[in-house]
Amino acid sequence: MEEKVFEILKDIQPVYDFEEGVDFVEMGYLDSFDVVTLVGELEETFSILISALDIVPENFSSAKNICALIKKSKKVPITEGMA
Amino acid sequence: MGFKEHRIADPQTTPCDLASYTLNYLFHEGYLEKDAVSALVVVAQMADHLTPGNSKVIHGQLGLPRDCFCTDLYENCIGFISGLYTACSLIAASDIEEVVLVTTDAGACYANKLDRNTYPLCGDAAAVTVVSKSADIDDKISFVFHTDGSRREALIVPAGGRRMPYSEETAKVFQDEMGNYRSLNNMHMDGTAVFQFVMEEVPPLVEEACRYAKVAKGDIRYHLTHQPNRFMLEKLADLIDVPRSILFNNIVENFGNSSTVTIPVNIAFNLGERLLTERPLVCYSAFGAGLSLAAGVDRLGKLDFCKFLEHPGEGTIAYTAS
Repeated sequence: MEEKVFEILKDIQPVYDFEEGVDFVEMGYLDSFDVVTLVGELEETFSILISALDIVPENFSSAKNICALIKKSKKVPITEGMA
Repeated sequence: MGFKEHRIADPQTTPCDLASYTLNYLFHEGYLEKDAVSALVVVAQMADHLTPGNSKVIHGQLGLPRDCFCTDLYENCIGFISGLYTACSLIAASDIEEVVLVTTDAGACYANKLDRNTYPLCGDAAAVTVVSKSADIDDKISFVFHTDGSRREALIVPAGGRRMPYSEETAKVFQDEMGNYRSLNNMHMDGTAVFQFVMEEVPPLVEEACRYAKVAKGDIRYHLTHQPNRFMLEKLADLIDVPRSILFNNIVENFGNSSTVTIPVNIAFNLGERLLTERPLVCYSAFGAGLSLAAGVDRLGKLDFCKFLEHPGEGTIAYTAS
C-alpha cells in the first residue's frame, strides 16, 4: 500500500522526494489543491470513500498517516457516493 | 476539482453593467415594468464606484422612478441569501410589495492568475430575482445566519480598504508558503481552513434551518448551495447525508464561482425550466468570507421566467432584441 501511495504522491508532485520522511504539508510538498487531487486518487485506487471530516492536514503529513487514513476509510465501490 | 471553463467580464464591463443589461432585458420583454419598480436591493462585493453605491448607479443607468427605494449590501459568498432576507424584511416591514434583488459580481480581477488556489475558481455574473408579497400568510422563507469573524483571515483580500490602502508595497508579488504567487492586493484563501469550516458548520446549519422551517430534511427536494468547487460539494452532500444528485455541484466547472451570484446561477442552470411549472421545497445554503454561513428553506417555483442571458460585453447596458 505504501509503495502505491508514494507512486500517487510522485504523480501529483514529481518535484519532491516524498521518501525523505518530512511532513508533506508543513514543508509545502502538498497544498490544499494537491490534497484534493490526492483524495480523489486514493478513493479511486483503493475503492474507498474518505470522509470530509478526515480531510485534515495531519492525515496527509506522511505516507504512514495516509496509509492509516486509507485503512480507516469506508471501503465502497467508488460509485456509491455518487447517488 | 472539476474545472472546464469560467466566465470573466471584460474590463469595460462592471457589476452594474451586467445588472442593468439584465434588467433592461426584463423591461423589454415585459417581465418587469420599469415605472413600477419600488425597491432595488443590490448585493455585490465589487462596486462601480466607492461612492455612490451600485444601487444608485443602476438607478441612474436605467432611469428608475425617483421614489424607488435603493440600497446596497456589501456581501460575499452568502450574499444571495442575505439579499433575499433583506428583500423579505422590506416586504414584511413596509408597504413595499415587490423588491428587485440584484446580485452581481465582476470581481475576478481580485484573483492573481498565478494563484492556482483562487484564479481557476473565479467567475463573473449578475442575477435579478424578483421577490413579491404573497397572499398566503404561510408562504415564507425560513432563514438562519451564523458568523465567526474571528476566522476572517482565512478568506481575505488584505489590501485596498482603509486598514491597508493600496500601495506599491501591497502590489508586490511574493511566493506564499504554498508556492503560489500573489500580492496583498489579491484574494488570499486558506483552503484547508475554509474546507474544514464548511464541513464542520454547514451540515448542522442545514439541520437547524429545517428545524426552524418545521420540515424534515428528507422533504427537501433540492439543496441549492453556493458553489466553491465540485469536490467540496460532493463531500458536503455526503456529510449532510443527502444524495449527491440533489445537491448540484456543476456550476464552478461551467461558469466559475461568482460569489453572491452562484445560487441564482445554480437555480437557472439546473432547475430553470422546471421552476416554471413546479414548486419544490428547497434549502439554500451558502458559506464563505467572514467566515459566515447562511441557509434558507423555501418553496421555490411557479416562476414567470428563469433563464440565462449572455452579456454582449464592452459595458453594454441596452438590450436590443436580435
